[in-house]
Amino acid sequence: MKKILTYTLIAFSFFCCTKNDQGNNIYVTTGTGGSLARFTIVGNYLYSVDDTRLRIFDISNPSTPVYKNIINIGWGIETIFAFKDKLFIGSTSVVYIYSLANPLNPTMISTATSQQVFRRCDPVVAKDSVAYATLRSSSMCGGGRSVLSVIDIRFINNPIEIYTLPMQEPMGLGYWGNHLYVCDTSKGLQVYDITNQYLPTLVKTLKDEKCLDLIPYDDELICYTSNGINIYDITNRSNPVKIITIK
Amino acid sequence: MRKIFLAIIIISLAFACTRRWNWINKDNKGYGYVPIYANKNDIVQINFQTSRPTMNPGKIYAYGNYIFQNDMGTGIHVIDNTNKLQPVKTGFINIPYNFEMAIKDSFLYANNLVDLVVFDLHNPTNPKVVNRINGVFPMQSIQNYPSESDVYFECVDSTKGVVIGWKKQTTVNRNCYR
Repeated sequence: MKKILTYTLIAFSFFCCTKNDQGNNIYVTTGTGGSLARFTIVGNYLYSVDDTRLRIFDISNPSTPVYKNIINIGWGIETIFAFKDKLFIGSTSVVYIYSLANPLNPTMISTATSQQVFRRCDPVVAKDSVAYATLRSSSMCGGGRSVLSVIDIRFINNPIEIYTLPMQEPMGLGYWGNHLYVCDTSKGLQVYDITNQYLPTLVKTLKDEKCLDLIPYDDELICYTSNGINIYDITNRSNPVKIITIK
Repeated sequence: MRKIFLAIIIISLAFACTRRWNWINKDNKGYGYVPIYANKNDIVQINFQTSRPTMNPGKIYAYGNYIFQNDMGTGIHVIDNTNKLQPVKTGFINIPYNFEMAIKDSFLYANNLVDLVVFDLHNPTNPKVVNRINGVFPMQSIQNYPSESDVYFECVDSTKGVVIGWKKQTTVNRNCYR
């Protein structure tokens, strides 16, 4: 019991809600995290966020990281997602978008807020000219209702939430090709067609498949569950088929 | 005069954050917090073990033919996914107080409480620690006082080890308040 309390406290201080980096491999020598991560690697740099700050490590020599910089971001930081030359940093109140033009000294370009919720725990993923964020208003995160937020990032200086879908208790998310997979802890695993990227269409709900986060990876969906990991075959992207549960 | 003024400022600063109420036996909320300490030497004990069941599933990471899953606060499970129909756990990297990871060029970066540790994963069945940056992830909020404010707590004694959490209890040596 003591251990559980300790872990809970550490987990809270170290990350509150969480999220990570994901999407199709941009840098082939770097791995892929879920959408609930606090570490992400872009090129020769490792970025990590605590609840208020971003730290930057130079890993040009991968065995010998060098701690280079620390930047104040804001309050309630939970997740970091890298896409191309941008960092999407999710907090309890806003998504911060940072430019990596100078990778050692990222600068803020803009922030994305939602009209729908006051506070949220928001994993974010970005794809070309759109970003998807799950905005969860559970007891821990506060706020009114939960949504999947679709954000137009064509004009990165002025991201605009252009569509929202009601959700129950959304957590991590990720895309593979033209399909977006969303973990909803009470509704199950949801599959959306994002051929029209600004208008996700629900094509399938796997009610009994509950997950907290996921990584689409090489035609597989690796899902983090409360028991361990479920792996699905997504060769047919709209119809995940479970391969195995690893506990 | 200047010295007195300086002394007043220093004293004020010393009391600004954590007020000490040794002389007041005032009941506050009927409970307080006691630090949970861990031994510094135990925290840095990292080793590679045989595979084991996942206790408190944490974040996931994919790299090459391998999948990694954090076991919250204890380390990282290594899963070989070369045979996609039959992925297998091949081992467990025991890393106390680990929650985060990322991999590049077969080097794994993981937090070990407040340290950043680097593992060589070229042989994923035998990861080796190759580097460590001490104290780069300080957890001020946990290491100095409990997260709840307006509450009594037992002052941190750094000679007892590293604070890794706080335990709520009714009988507390109420020598600190925040």
